[in-house]
Amino acid sequence: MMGVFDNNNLKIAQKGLDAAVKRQSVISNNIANINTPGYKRKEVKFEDALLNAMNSGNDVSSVSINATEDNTTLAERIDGNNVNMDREMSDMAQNAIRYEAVIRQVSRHFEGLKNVIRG
Amino acid sequence: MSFLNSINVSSSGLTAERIRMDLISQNITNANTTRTEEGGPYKRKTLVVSENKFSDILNSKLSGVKVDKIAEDNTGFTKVHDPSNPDADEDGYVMMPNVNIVEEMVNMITASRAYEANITAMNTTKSMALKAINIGK
Repeated sequence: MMGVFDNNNLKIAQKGLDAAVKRQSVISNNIANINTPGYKRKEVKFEDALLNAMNSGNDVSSVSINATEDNTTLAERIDGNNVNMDREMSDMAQNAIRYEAVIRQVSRHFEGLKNVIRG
Repeated sequence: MSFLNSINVSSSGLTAERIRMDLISQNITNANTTRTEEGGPYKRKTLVVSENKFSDILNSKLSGVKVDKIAEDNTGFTKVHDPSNPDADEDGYVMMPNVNIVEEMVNMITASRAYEANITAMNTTKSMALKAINIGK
């Protein structure tokens, strides 16, 4: 029923990687616009949607990864820009670490397959 | 979803901050310039930026920041009493440029930090892409 490459764990990992790439892009955009008047920071929230899909048994590939505008964070500056440098930098660091963790997980999965094939 | 898009976004940020830095240097250099080709003293220059968006409804591409224009600051000049200045009028007053050195220094620090942050973002993107190449090796 489940092929060697049709693993659900692999699909979840793939979604995680896609989301991390999108998140890095969104954080880069926030940092590039750190001095743009009136700019509202954007973020990627996909963990809840992914958890729902996993719990309800839906196909994980249907979870879409979108950037949403964050209008709830208080704009601490007169020009209405609500980008906080510290937050963006720490988000970026966390994102990079999570990305590497999932990459290693995927690598190990393929290593295991290779070992099994080699016998 | 491509990594290259992230790098373009960061590079647009770098360009904007570098232009801002150039304008700050220009303002500081001309802080005491009382005569220009147009007549009056030097007018402070500022940078106008806005977010660069694709009119893409799917919101799948962000493209950073774009420089709209280099604007002149129209706040009034300061009048300084200095009869020894060759540009002083009959009452001994000189119109000095509307450049505040302290403000320019603060802006310079902001631009410099933003530039560094964009560099870090670009480096992080690059290292993520390089790690992806190593899957399965």
